[in-house]
Amino acid sequence: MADSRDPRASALNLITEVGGRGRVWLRFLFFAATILPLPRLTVLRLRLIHYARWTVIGRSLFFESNFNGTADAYVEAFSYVFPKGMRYIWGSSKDFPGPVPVEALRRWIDKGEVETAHYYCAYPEASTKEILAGIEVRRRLREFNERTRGMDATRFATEYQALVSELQLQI
Amino acid sequence: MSDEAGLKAALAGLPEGDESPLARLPGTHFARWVVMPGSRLLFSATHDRAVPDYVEQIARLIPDEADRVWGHCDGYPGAADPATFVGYMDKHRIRTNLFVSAYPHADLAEVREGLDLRARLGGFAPRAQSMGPEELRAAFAEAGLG
Repeated sequence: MADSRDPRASALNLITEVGGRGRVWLRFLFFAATILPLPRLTVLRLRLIHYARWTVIGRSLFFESNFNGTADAYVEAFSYVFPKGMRYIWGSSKDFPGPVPVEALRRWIDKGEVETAHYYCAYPEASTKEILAGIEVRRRLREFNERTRGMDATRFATEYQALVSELQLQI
Repeated sequence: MSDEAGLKAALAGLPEGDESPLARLPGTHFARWVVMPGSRLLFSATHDRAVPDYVEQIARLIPDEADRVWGHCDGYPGAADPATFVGYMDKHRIRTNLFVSAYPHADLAEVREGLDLRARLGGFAPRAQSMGPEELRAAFAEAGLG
């Protein structure tokens, strides 16, 4: 499994062979997952994924991910946080070994991985956590600036201290 | 595609990072080209535009690079006529079955602005600890936060 040169923006492409019944199951599963938020929220609990997508192409399942860190750490986290979901999604793929042991999973992914020929990320230096923090900082600053417009300096300073205290985990 | 080696060479010859032609497509968060098994080319983009507009801007903004890459694909009409290009892409488009996003409601400008403001506030807060109220308010605006 090839690690990205930039550990904050890595790409993974995985293509696996799926039988006819498996493809019907996947279409149902993905439809359900689009309506029910739980599977998506579970995947995003990883806090490593910027974006990911699953697509049935012909007789194959194509998985594409943009994530932080190395591919090894990503697969390990996926196997730890999302084992049931992995069985639902890749259980119908040929030779899927299950989410554990992670070494077998890594070998299986290595076999199905397709190299990215050209990759672009608009913010390669930023992790998912930093982006989520930035979005929150932007939102709170907008509220703050709206609220404190025309306020005297002493009250402004008090409001500012409260803002920084509330955003300390984001900055 | 008949010339996989030529396609791979064309893709390998594209500049990377901020110089990538994909950086010239507004609204692009992530994008990639992948040469798939069976001599098929996959282009995938995560963007915040309407799909037809996004595809059309490929023809308008990076026509030379588009021709260099997709020119290896069967039936490719070229990017000179954006409408024909969009029609070709639409014919070969595959819809995603499931898409997950950590920040689905943020467009590219918001992501970049958020990262910038976070860095500014992170740099400003330690400096501001010793400031009085008047100085704080003026410095807050000067730091591009207000």
